[in-house]
Amino acid sequence: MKRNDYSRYREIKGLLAGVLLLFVFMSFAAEGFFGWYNLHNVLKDLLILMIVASGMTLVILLGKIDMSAGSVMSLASIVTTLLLSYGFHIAFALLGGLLAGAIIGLLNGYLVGVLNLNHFVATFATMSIAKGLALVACNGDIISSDSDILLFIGTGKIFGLFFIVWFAAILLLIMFFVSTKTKFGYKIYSIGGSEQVARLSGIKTSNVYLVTYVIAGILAALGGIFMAGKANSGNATIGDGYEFSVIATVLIGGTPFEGGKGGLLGTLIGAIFLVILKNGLSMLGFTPAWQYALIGLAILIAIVADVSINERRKAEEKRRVKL
Amino acid sequence: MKRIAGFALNYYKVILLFAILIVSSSVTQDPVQNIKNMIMIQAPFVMIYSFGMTLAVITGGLDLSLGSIAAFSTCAAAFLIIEDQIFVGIAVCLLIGAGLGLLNGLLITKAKVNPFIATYGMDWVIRGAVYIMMGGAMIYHFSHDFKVIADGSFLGISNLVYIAFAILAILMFVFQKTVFGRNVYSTGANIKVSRLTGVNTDMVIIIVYMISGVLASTSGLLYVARLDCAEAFLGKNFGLQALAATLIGGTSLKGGKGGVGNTVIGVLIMVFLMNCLNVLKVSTLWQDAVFGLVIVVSALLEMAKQRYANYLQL
Repeated sequence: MKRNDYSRYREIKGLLAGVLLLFVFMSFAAEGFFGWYNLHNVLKDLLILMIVASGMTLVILLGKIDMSAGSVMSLASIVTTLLLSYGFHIAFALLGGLLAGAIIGLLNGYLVGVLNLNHFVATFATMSIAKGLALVACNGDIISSDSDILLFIGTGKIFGLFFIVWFAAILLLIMFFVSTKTKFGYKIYSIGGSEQVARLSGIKTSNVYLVTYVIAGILAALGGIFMAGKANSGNATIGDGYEFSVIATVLIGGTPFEGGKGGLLGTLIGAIFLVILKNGLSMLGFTPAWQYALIGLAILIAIVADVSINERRKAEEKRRVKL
Repeated sequence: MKRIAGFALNYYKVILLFAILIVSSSVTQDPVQNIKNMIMIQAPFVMIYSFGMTLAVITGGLDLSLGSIAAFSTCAAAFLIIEDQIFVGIAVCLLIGAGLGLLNGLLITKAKVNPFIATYGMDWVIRGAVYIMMGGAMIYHFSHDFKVIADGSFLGISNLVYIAFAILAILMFVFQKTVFGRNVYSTGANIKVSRLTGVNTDMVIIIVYMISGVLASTSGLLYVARLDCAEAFLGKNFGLQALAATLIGGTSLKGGKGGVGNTVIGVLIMVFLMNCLNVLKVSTLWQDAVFGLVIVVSALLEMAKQRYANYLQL
């Protein structure tokens, strides 16, 4: 166990150095990057990304994927603001948003975990279902809300820090605890390591898939609600392409597609990296079209690097076994 | 009961096709014109890029970058075509399509990125590049010589149909009768065994993605000729629609099974379905959700097929 912790620290160390380097570079190169106002806002973006990414981390640890995360964010933002506009109490509106995420998550879990469909295609399909439902529900419009509480969730401050900072800190601590210290967390890692072995050793794998996908759905919905709170309005395109950033965050953070390795700590550092890159690029004056292409490229490079490092490690292991 | 399920699973495509057709025909004023419209004008576009997706699915991957490849190659070519260099423009368009397909293929075979992630990532990168290139502008008002490719007709049948069926014939010949075609199927069915029997699987996969890219830019070009306008938003849901058409057509996601012939039926189902929703006055906003549902349903059908395999005469 000790040795394992050490090697994980070593893996993260390179990434940490990269993040620091990027941070220092952006501080000097991008005017207005290094300041409390900007950094506080970066922190908000970071935590929204991190909330969604922590759910995705669990899914990828299982060796699966959740393409529907971005669409679920859109759907949750629409459902919440729509319920508010129908005059429901804010508590029910928030609950409705989270429920929408849970339902899509349940569908994902059922298709992938119980029916054993290809996880890419199944969640890609639910992604377009969720997006379609969001579009239909709002009729293609932006739905504005006049709820002070939703606005507070997105922009309010407690003791000088955004509400989301306190909220996410508690949530992420819980997630960290669940993934590393509980039976459920161990089950996730063991299924990711080898599903067959996990099943043969008595783990009800389909239940774990269902629960994990539901958690991921709810967390994505939470991210969507925070996004809605930022502008105090719901929009069916809020989460477009967000799943791509989230998946990249997890991969950059050192959790490979095969699952069973990595964890939330790496994802946090991956999220910091991506958010600094995004904010820095816009501070450097790149137009949104350029940001779109550059971030996509950066993500793709990160994924290619991740895959090739893993390939090399596998080849190395094979060589050792032969010796 | 099981026998009935077996029958339904065997012929579900035909049943589906007619069911949709009956519903839409009972609502429209002029069913014959409506059907003619769908087959002559709407289906050929979808068919051409769906073939690209089908080939990728046969190798056991998929190509989600079809739409952005179509947009990028046509927007680049439009700069030439608007200057009346039509043949150069078309050549450039197809070359760009092949080049981007090559990039997809290299990412999948040499960098060993999962095809889904590789092509989905490329989709974002290429789409961003189109936005940069066009800067929000559109290119329109092409010469008659270019527009006639998609608008013209011969013997009362639209040129689009001829083009689509010529492509279909070539692809069917190549994938049924040539060594390369059989190699593609064997690569999809079992990549390790194919490699051990001497098939250069990497090369096969790269060429398939290049063909897919060329097909995407071909259909993009026809769209531009038809709409008389090249814009960065072209083909936003090509990938999704092509995947739905391929899977409902019966090409298996596991690779090595199905073919472009199946996809013709799949495309007809998708086009009829969209048309049916249209004439029923369902909002076009439902499109995304419908595509997703079709993908889920066809995946479930495939599973049911395996379960009732005994009752199927395949």
